[in-house]
Amino acid sequence: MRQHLHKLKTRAQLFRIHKEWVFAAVLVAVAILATLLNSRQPFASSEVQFTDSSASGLAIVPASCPSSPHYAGECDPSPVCNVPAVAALFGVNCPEPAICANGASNYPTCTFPPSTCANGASNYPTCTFPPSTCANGASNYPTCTFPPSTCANGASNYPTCTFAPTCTLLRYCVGTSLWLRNSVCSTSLIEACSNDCGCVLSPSVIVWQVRPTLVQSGERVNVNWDTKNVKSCTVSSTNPPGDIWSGKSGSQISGSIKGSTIYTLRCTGLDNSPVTRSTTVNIIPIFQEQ
Amino acid sequence: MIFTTRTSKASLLLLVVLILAGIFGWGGLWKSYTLLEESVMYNLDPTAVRAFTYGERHFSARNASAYDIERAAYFFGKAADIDPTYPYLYHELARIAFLKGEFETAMALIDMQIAQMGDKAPNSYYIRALIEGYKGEYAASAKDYEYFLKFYPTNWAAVNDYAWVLLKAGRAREAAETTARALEWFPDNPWLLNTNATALFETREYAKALQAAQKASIAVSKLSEAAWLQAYPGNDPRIANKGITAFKKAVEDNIHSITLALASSTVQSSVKP
Repeated sequence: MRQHLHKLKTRAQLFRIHKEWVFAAVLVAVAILATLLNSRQPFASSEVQFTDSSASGLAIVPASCPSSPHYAGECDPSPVCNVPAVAALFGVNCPEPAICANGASNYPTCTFPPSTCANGASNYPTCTFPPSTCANGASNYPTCTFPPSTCANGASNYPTCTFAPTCTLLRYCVGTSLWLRNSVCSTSLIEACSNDCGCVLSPSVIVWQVRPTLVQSGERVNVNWDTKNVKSCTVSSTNPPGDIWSGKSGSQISGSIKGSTIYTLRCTGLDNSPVTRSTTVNIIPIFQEQ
Repeated sequence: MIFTTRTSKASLLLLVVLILAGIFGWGGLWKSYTLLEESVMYNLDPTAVRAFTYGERHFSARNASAYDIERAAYFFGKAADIDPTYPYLYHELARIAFLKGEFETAMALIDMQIAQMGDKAPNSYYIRALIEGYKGEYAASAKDYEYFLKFYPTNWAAVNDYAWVLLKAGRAREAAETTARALEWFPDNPWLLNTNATALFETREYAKALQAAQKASIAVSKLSEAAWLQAYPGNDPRIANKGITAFKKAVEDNIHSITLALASSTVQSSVKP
């Protein structure tokens, strides 16, 4: 009896020790996890490090407000605009509907001729479109099917434009499935597999900035770059003696710029495909009285 | 006696938790708990809805403690394995690929999304326009922005980005007009003011450009983190400060360039042969 009690006591002690060990292990695991999570660097997306240059070198800053599927009008005018009387009461600026003379929206300048169109359709306006732009936003569209009663210049009842899309071949993963995008941009499932399916991701330039791109002679510029899925990269400039840097990412200050200079980033991807980006830095001319 | 032992154990546990919280912060502990809870719950009940919900939890600029793009991608991937037709799944995967700079993958994914939901998810056109813009396909991007703007004609971010690709496509006049129209509704929006200044600079209206850029400078100086995060809803909230700083620098650089050009043009016009 005594022996049995002793055994039970020992087991109970062991169990207590085990429980303490388990508790300690859980705490250590939590601590390690917490440390790892806290040490994670903030994610710097390609978007927010990106300010694009205009033709003359000014910085444009795109945003991405309505990109979330949960977008609820945060970047649209105040909801009171739906009730014009309330909007007027509070002096809120509300948009006016953009409607052209012919009733179509986003139309450019429209003039209504008294007679008919060249193709026999009647009462169609002649519209002056911005260069290389259709009403449907397509530029230089290839195959266009004109419906009946449509003017030759494409005004009103715009043709349906069928683009023959071209894409680079791409293998990518969705979950554990391997997909392929072919040369005409169709996507198809190749296989569902449990590993990464051997996806070799395409090289990409996440950041490429040369700032400013308009300088006075002798000034310097900042050159920043960051890439992904690349083996190596080189940045070079045309301005003698020329700046040359290498690395998958970097941030450098140029030498003194005396004339128009092209900065070029050249990278070789993990899949051996090349990626190139270029930016030109121009000099502000100085005018002197003769 | 039992009560005392239990109380002391509870106190000890509380003490340990407080010490860990002191060392790693409540955020770290909460994250650890969330991860454990997610892993356990997902393994017990692996559904597309659960996976998508967990993915969304880690992919919001408004949830700083949970933001984790890799974990979001992991759960969206799980959701795709279970139900590839789940709404907005490819949209979210495309956004993540886009933010990671994997533009080709992002493009393929958003095309899948548009093929699946079409006009029922108009902001997928916006995402495609963004990707095309970053890829340098400005005509296609402009087309998608225009299509999105048919659904949300007064969305300032879409107008701003539309103007960006118009500028890149050499259509500065249209960019200036488009942003000027939107500024009537959002007169103090720093993005619109900056893009408008750039467009006016490109059309050589330097004085007006300087005026707009100076307004942008004032507007951007008042830009709050909350407003910035609203403009970039998929980005890590911890870089909001860095983003605002970069924006301010861009505006100041623009003022510098415009001022130089204005001075140069003034000298040029005053020097007559």
